[in-house]
Amino acid sequence: MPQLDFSTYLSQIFWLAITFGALYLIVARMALPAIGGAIEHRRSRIADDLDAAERFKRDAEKALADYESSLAESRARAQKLVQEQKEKVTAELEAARARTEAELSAKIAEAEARVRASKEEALKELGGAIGGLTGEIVTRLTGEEPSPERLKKAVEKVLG
Amino acid sequence: MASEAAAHKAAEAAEAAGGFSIDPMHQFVIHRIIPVKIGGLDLSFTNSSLWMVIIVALAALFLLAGGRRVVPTRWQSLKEMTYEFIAGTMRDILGDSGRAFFPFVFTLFIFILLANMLGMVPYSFTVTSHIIVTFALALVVFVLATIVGFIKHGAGYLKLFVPSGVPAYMLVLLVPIEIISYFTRPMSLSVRLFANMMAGHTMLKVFGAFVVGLGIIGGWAPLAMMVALSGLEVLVAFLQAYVFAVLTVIYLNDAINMHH
Repeated sequence: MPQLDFSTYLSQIFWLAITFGALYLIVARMALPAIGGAIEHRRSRIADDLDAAERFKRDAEKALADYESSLAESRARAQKLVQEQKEKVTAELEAARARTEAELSAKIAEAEARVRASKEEALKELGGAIGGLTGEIVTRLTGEEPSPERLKKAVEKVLG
Repeated sequence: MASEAAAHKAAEAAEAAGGFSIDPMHQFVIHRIIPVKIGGLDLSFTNSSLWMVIIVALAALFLLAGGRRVVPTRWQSLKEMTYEFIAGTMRDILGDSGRAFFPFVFTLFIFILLANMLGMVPYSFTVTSHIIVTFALALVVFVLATIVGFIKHGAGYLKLFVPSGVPAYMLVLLVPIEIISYFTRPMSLSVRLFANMMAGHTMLKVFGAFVVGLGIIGGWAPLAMMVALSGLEVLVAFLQAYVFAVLTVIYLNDAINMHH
C-alpha cells in the first residue's frame, strides 16, 4: 500500500505546506476580497437603484397629481368663462330685443296716428261732399234750399 | 518508495509478458520527479507535489479570473456561488463570530474539492488519497481549533470535556469518553476523506481492469458499472470536501462558542 510508505511522508507534508499556504494567501489576500467586494458592490448598487426607482415613482405620482389638479382648475375656469359669456350674450340679446321692440312699437304708434289723421281728413272731406249732395237732393225734392247749419248738423248726426 | 516501485515494475513486467494482472494500488504510487535532498531530508518534488501545484494553479485561475462586474458573467457567478455557499454554511453553524476563519475554511474546501475532482481525471494523481495529506490537514484544523478555544476561554475551554446536567458519578465515565472523542477528531476527519478517495479509485481501477480483461464481448457490463461509479465518485468527491469543511466549522464553533 503506497499510502504507508513512510519515506514519502516528509516530501508530501513539505509540499502540502507550501501549496496549501500559497493557496491560503491567494484566497485570503486576493480572491475573497475581490469576490466579496463584487457581491457587496452589487448589493449596494441594487439598493441604490431601488431607492432611485422609489424616488422616481414618487416624483411621477406627484406630477400626476399636479397635472390632475391643474386640469381640474382649467376645467373650472373654462366653465366659468363659458357661463360668463353665455350671460353676456343673453343680456345683449335681451337688450337688442327690447330696443327693437321699442322701435317697432314707436313705428306702429306713428303709423296708427297717421292712419287716424288720414281717416279724419277723409271723413271731413266726405262730410263736405255729403253735405253738398244732400243739399242738392233736398233742393230737388223740396225745391227749398236747406240752411248750411242744418245740413252740417244732419251730416254730423249720420256720420257720428 | 523503492520497494513499492519495484513491486509495481514486476506487475508491469508480468502484464507485458502476456499475463493479466490487476494492480489497483499502482495509481497511488508516489515517484520522484525532481529529487531534492536538504540536510539528509527527502523533500523531492513528486507526482503528488505536481498535482498539488496544479490544484493551486487551477484554484487561482478559477478564483482570480472572471472579472468582478455588477452583472456577473457565468464564471463570476460560479465563483460567487462558491463564496456564498461556504459563507452561508459558516454563518449557519458559527454565526458571525467566525468571520476570521472564512479564508481558511474556504481554502480547505477549494483545495480538497479540486484534489478530489482532479483525481477523477484518468492518469491523474489523487492528492487526498494519501492518509498523510489528509491527516496533516486534519491536524491543522485540530490544532487551530484547540488554540482558538484556549485563547478564547483560557482554562475554561476544558469545560468542553464536562457535559452539563450530568450527575457527578457519571462524569467519571463521561469525561474520559469526551476526551477520547475530542482527540480522535483528527483521526476520523482524515481517515474519512482518505478512505473514501482510496476506496473509490481502487474500485474504479478494478472495474477498469475487468473491462480490459473481459474484452469487447464481456467488457460492457463492468463498463456500465464504471459509468455509474464515476457519477457516484464525483458526488463523493464533492461531498467529502463539503463534509471536511463543515466539520472544520463545527470544531471551530465548539472552540469559539463552546455550547456542547
